[in-house]
Amino acid sequence: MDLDDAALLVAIREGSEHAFNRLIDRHQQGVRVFLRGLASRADADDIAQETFLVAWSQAGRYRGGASVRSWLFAIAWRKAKDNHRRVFRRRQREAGYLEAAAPADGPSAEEHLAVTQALQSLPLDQRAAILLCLAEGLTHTEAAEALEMPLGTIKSHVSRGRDRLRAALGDSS
Amino acid sequence: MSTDIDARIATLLRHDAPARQDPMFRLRVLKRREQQRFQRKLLLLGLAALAVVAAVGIGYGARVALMEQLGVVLLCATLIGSCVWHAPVVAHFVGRARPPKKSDAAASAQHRDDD
Repeated sequence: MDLDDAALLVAIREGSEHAFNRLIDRHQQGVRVFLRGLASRADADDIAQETFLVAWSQAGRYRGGASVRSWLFAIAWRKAKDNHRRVFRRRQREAGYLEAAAPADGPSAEEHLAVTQALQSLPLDQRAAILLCLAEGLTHTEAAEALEMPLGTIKSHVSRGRDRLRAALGDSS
Repeated sequence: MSTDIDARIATLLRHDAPARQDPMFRLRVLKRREQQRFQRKLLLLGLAALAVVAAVGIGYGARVALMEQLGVVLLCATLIGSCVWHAPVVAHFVGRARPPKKSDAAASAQHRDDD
């Protein structure tokens, strides 16, 4: 039987290893994609691991208001903000590396580079909103819960961010 | 048109997404959890040992020298016991403290490239 996320958290609260493994398997990809848009690849995976460790130790604090997915993204977002403050200077160096070392083959490589650079140029809040709503398919409401921002702010962030990414792809519509 | 470009953006944003199933990632999470548990237990055991030593020392203030010796013995026994209890994790920490061999470093670099 495949338990839903809330049931998994109940089982995790009771110490179920199996439920914890299922939770990781189910959400690691989304959490890591989100974090890779906010931090370097190595940092992102590190923060993703910490996110699941917090989920394990604080499963009892989940109250069921938001979806488990949003709750995990909320944990990841708080950790990503801490990381952003901590390694701001290092991140700037890595942005330079990305520019120099991005793959140059294939027709989509240029587009990928353009979108990545446009994404990196956005403020952190806007980037997080874009990643959750466009890359992870969360609704604006879910993203607002995860990022602890007003719904209107999320809509505005997504709209502006989307325009920037479209411009980077050469789409002026 | 708008949906098309949104889908394209979504695809590009997920360009280097990790695999949907990634057992290595799960293992890393579990490993870190075990390390945290070990550190917490070690800290608790150490504190408990210190508390016992302090309590015994205060209770038998007149026999300070004897109690000090007993305290040291108790503390050492607790630490050794906890190390034996968590031998695999201790071995892991000791392994990490040593400078990596060339072959290990190369394997690690290869592993990072694979990621």
